[in-house]
Amino acid sequence: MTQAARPNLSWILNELLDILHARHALVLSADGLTVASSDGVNRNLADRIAASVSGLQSLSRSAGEFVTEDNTVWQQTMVQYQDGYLFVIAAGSGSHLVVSAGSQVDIEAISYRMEKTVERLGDPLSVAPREPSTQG
Amino acid sequence: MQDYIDSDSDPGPVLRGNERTVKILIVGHMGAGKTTAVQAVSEIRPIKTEEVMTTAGSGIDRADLPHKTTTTVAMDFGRVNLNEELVLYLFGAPGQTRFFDILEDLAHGALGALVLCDPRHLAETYPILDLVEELGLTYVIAVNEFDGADRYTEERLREVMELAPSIPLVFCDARSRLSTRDALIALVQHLLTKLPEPVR
Repeated sequence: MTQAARPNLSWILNELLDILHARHALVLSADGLTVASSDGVNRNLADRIAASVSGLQSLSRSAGEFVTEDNTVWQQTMVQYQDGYLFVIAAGSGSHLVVSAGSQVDIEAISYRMEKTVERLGDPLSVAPREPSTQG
Repeated sequence: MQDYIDSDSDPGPVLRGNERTVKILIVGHMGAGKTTAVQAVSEIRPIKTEEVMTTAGSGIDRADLPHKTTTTVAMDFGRVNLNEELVLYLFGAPGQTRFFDILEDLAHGALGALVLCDPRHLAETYPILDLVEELGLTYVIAVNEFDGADRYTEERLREVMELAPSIPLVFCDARSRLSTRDALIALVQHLLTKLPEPVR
């Protein structure tokens, strides 16, 4: 199973936060575990966010049948709060990238930046599926 | 672990980063005590996604639980260190069959499942057991001993549920941290028996 922090990913996530009003960034495995996060996110918060965002992604995907009958492919989840936003996009086959931002953030700019970040990270970001025989 | 700065607002154990982490699914029928168990045992502030049960669910969701006013709609989450080396990540799934897609997603990466059940409603555990077996998860059944409910012996419960001898069955009180923890320890011990022999 994924060990929590990967420092080389963390600094790329920190760079993503150059965008004005961006707050935190975190990469989670599709099964809901923390892979890496930007500075200033403590481990307990990271683990809770990884878990809840995996649920959010799962729910978003299953609600896709409301968009098209053949359940169109999920690409992004955006949640608006009184004081900001949460954005979730796929980051490789086995992981997701979640970023939080204040309400003044440029939504288009941050979405674009997230896509670029995922492109830049490429394969190292994806988390391999567990082999049936490996130990946990 | 230098990436995580612990804040005062978030008390709880700090992980060193070299622990072995194991994802565990907490399943069971509606009202079996899944949310209660995760709340009781988690060492960090748990996640719960409870919503008030509405009239839309009457006739679909069971209504004979006078004290139950909310139900989990997405997931529960908690984390517990069993010892210095082993951290369990607990993912609780909703109990109703209409949420089974979510359960299947939550099961990804899980090593095993704790199946909670209310001995007064054993039949409601069967669809959960079918699903858990279909997913290939190793599991332990934890019979939640509710106040005022009749007590049954393990033999009697095994007989009624037609359980294979290889499937462990334990009793617990989901409200109790120690009792829930013991049930999780039983699951981990059972998982260890399933691990392949180390190659020399």
